Parts: sequence; C-alpha cells; structure tokens
Amino acid sequence: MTKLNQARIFIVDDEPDVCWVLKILLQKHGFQVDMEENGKKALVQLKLSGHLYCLVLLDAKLSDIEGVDLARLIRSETACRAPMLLVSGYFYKDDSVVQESMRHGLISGFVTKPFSHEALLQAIETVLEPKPYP
Amino acid sequence: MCPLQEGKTLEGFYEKLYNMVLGNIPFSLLLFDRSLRVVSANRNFLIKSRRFESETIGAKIREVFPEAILNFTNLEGKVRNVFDTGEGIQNAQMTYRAPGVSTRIYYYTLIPVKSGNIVEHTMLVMDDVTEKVQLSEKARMAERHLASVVESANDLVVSTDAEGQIISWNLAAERISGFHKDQVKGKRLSELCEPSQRHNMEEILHRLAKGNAVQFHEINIVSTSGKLIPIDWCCSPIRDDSGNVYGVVEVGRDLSERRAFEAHLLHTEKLAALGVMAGGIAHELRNPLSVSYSAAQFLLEADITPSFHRECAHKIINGIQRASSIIENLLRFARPAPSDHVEPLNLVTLVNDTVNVLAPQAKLLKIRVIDQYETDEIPISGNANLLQQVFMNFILNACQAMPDGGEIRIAVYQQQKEAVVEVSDNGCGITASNISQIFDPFFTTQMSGKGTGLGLSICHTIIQQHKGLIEVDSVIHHGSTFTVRLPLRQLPDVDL
Repeated sequence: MTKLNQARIFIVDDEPDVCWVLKILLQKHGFQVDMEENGKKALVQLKLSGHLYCLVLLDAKLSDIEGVDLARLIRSETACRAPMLLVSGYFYKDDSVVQESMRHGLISGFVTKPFSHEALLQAIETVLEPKPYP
Repeated sequence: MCPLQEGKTLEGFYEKLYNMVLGNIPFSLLLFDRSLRVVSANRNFLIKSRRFESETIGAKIREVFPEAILNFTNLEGKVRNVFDTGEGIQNAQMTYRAPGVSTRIYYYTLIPVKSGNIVEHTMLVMDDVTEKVQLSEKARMAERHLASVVESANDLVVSTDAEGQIISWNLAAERISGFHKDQVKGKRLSELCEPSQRHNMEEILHRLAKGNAVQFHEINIVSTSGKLIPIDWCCSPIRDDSGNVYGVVEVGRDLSERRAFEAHLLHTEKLAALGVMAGGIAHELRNPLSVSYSAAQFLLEADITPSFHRECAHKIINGIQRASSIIENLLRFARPAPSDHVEPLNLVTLVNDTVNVLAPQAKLLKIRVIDQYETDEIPISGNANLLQQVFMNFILNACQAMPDGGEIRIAVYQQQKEAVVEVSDNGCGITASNISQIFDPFFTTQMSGKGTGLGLSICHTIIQQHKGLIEVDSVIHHGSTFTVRLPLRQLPDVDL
C-alpha cells in the first residue's frame, strides 16, 4: 500500500501541453500519473481517491480557481494529505503568496515554469524523502 | 418780411441782420483793422473771454489775448500777414484759457475782408471744439482699450463680414497661425482651415449669417509652417441696430497644449494598463516557454523513438509560435503612435487585436471572453491607438467588475450608417447614483492606487473626437454594457 501510495502523483493543470510534459517526465521516472484540468474536477477525483496519491502538483492559475485556494480546499474537503507542489509561471519564488503558503505548510515547495527536469525531480525528491506521509 | 416795407434803409437792415447773426452764431468772431485793433467782437467771444464790449472794441490784439497765447500761436504775426498778403488761414488750433475759466480748445480761421484789392479788415473766427476734442479723445481711449483687450487675449479673436471674409485678426491669431493680419485680411476664414474641414467652417458662418445659433466646433487651422492646429471655435453674430447680422466674431482657443496633455495622459494610462496586464502576459508566455524547454530536454535524452523525437520538435515549434504571437499582440498594442493620425481602419481587426492582448489577463481572472463579430470587416476612420485605448478600458473595467470571474461578451456589428461595439459583463453593475459620474475625470470607485479615474473620461474624449457616442446600460448585480457608436467610413462607390 505504502509503495503504491508513493508512486502515484496527481496533477492539476489547465494547459494540455504542460500536462503532456509532466506525464511523460514522471512516468519515465517510475511514477503513475493522474491528471485533471480544473479545480472542480480535481476535487471530485481527490474526494474519491485522495488517499492514493503521494504528491499533488498544482498549477497556480487554473481556469476556475487559484492554485493556492484549491490547495486549501483539498485539505478541508478531501482525505488527501499528500504534500503539494505549486508549479507556476505566474508567481516567482519569493512572492508573498508563495512564501506564506509555504510557511503555513499548505504547500511544500514551489517550481517556476519553465523548469529544468532536474530541478523538478529534485523538488519532488526533497518533498517526498524527509517526511513521507504515512 | 421785406425790409423796405418797414420804411428803413437797406444798409441799416443788413447791419442789423449782421449783428443778429454775429450775436447768435456759436463761433467767436473778432474783426481787426490794419492797426490790429478790434473793430468788432461778437457776444460769443465776449462771454468766452469774460470781457466787456467797451474794453474790447478799440483794444489792440495784444490787449485782448494773453501774451502766452500770442507767443505760442504767433497770432499777431499771422493777422499781420493776412493784411500783407491777402491770404487767409484755415483751421489752425489754439488752446485758450480766459482768467477763471477752464482751458478751451479752438479751431480758428483768419479771413481777409477786402475792399477792392486792399485788405481793410481781418476776421478771426474761433470755433470752440473743446467738447468735441474731449469726446473724440474719450472715444479714442475706449477704442484703444477695446483693441488692447482683443490684442492681449490669449485666444484667437477674429471678425469677418457676413460673407466670411476676414476683417480683423488679433495678435494671438498671428502668433498661433503664423499669418500676419495683412496676409489674411479679405481672405475667407475657411481658406485658413484644414481643407477637409473648410465646408464645416463655411456652414457655421452661413448659419450664423442667417441668424441661427451655433454650438462650439473644433476645426483645425493650417499654420504658415503647414502644421494643423486644433482650435475650439465659438462664433457669434454681430448685429446692427436693427438686428440684422452684418458680421461674425469668431473666438478660437488653441487646443494644442490640451491635446499634448491628453496624449500624455493617454500614454500614462496605457502604461498603467500594460502594468496590470504584465502578470497575465508573463503567465501566458511562460507556458509555451515551459513546454518548449521540456521538449528540448527530452530531445537531449539518448533513448528516444523517432516518433517522440518528431513530437518534441513540433511542441517546440508550436511553443515558439505561440510565444511570438503573444509578443506580437503586445507590440501592436504598446507601440506609441501619434495621437493625431487618422487613417482608414477595420473596426473588427482593431477590436480583435485589443481582445487578443487582454485575453491572458481575463483568463487569469477566470473571465471568459466571448467575441461575436458579425462580419470580417467594418470600415471606419480613426486613430487605431486611441480607439484601442477605449476598448481596452472597457474590457479592463469589465474585468474589475467581476472579481470572482465571469463572462465578457464583445459584439461588433453594423447598424445602418453606424459601426457598433458592445462590451458587456455580468459583473457588479453601476449604481444609479454613480452612472451619471462615470465619465467625469478622476471619478473612481476603486481603492486609491488601483485606478486613476481617468479611463472613462479619456474614452469619452476619444469617442467624441471620432464623432461617435458612448452609451452605458447597467443593472446593479447583473452587469453593465458599454456601447460605442462610430460613423462608418464612406467606401468609394463601386457601382458604375
């Protein structure tokens, strides 16, 4: 169960080409990937099977909700306790929204688009390794 | 009455008549003999000089006039000269002040009274012109004052006859147009206007000449250097005492400075808007950059299939194309263009360009932009830069009216001789009390720092310049619709 949990990543991004990139990259590195394009669909999926995922990658700007707001709803409305990474072309790392969300533990890391694959994988590894969720 | 019937001599009658005339005419008369003694003085002279007849008749000229006057006018010499030459003097001037009386000004004439060839007497006729001189001096002062008011005015003050030919042209008109008044006198005022607007000026003058009222009109004049100068004209008829229009006075205000200021404001507003849009544009650019970057990284991996190789290359190409079209939209929008340039435009393209550049921002705000273009082309005349500014303002306002997302509908269509653009949102709407103020400069309901409050007032000015109209329709909590109506450009007639 734990092994399966660690291997499955949930992605929310409204940009099909970004999803294409993330899916190929993460599958290559042994993860299973599920994806949704907006907040509404993401919440439906996570309410059903939020416990399956070891990590959630969130776009900061979705067509129906802000990534940070979705993160809050995921915590309050679903059973998903996986760490969440914000992947965004809108914010920059020391943006107050990003910093505050990290300080409150709502999100565990931030990756700027465009990203090097190495940097993304490194961020994922950092989030997953030290304090893996049970 | 025949004097002979009275039984008196003819000579006696004429003497009496002469004395009566002399006593009553409004001139001072003195008759001198060759020894320059007074032979006769009429009542008018005695009153004005405050003398008695008894001390005047027989007195020498030197005893009758003060020395100062004699010295100044050389009256004695002139009288003597009349006796010597037989030639009189017409309309000389003297200022005479009798004791205890204020200064009087006289025109005087010296007339030789001859018997045969001999000048026996010289008559001095003095016409008191003090009041006339004072009056005309007053009139001249009033005239000078009025002229200096007109000349010192900062605005052009021009007068024309009822046919529109220039009669007067003040200093401001010279300064602003470069034309000296001598160059324009007799020309028609319309000849100095921009060729395409000459008929407007003619029409205004024509209407005024018929006694009709005319509103303010903006008509450009062409300066000596060929530059177009925007002038706001206020024209009014000049009527004679019986109310007939015999001329027109045209007061014109040079709008160049105001235009320059407005252009500056426009640019500032545009930069502010670009600032607002920067976030949306950055986000929009980073997505294709990110995809291209990743696809390139996949290409560097050793073990990829030929079909994946191709897929990656396509993603890179698409990404670059998307990024450059975003940049092109931005350039199209941000490039400063002269604000007085009017050209044939396609309203549909213009609106579409504006929508394209704002779409990323709308998307960021969870706002769906729906465009409905009735046709591909609606021809208008105008300044692309300024009109884009108007539509950008409407769209950004609509975005601000929907902080939680929503829908903006943009329709462009043709209605009779008008081109119409509608920008509707389903946002918060405008309260009835605010709706009358939304076009006022600096009116804003935004928190300070969020809006200058100049947007809609600038839009109003721009649409007015394009001879169009803005209408607002708003229902509180349901949304607002801004409608712009612009005159269609007349296309050249293709029918033979």
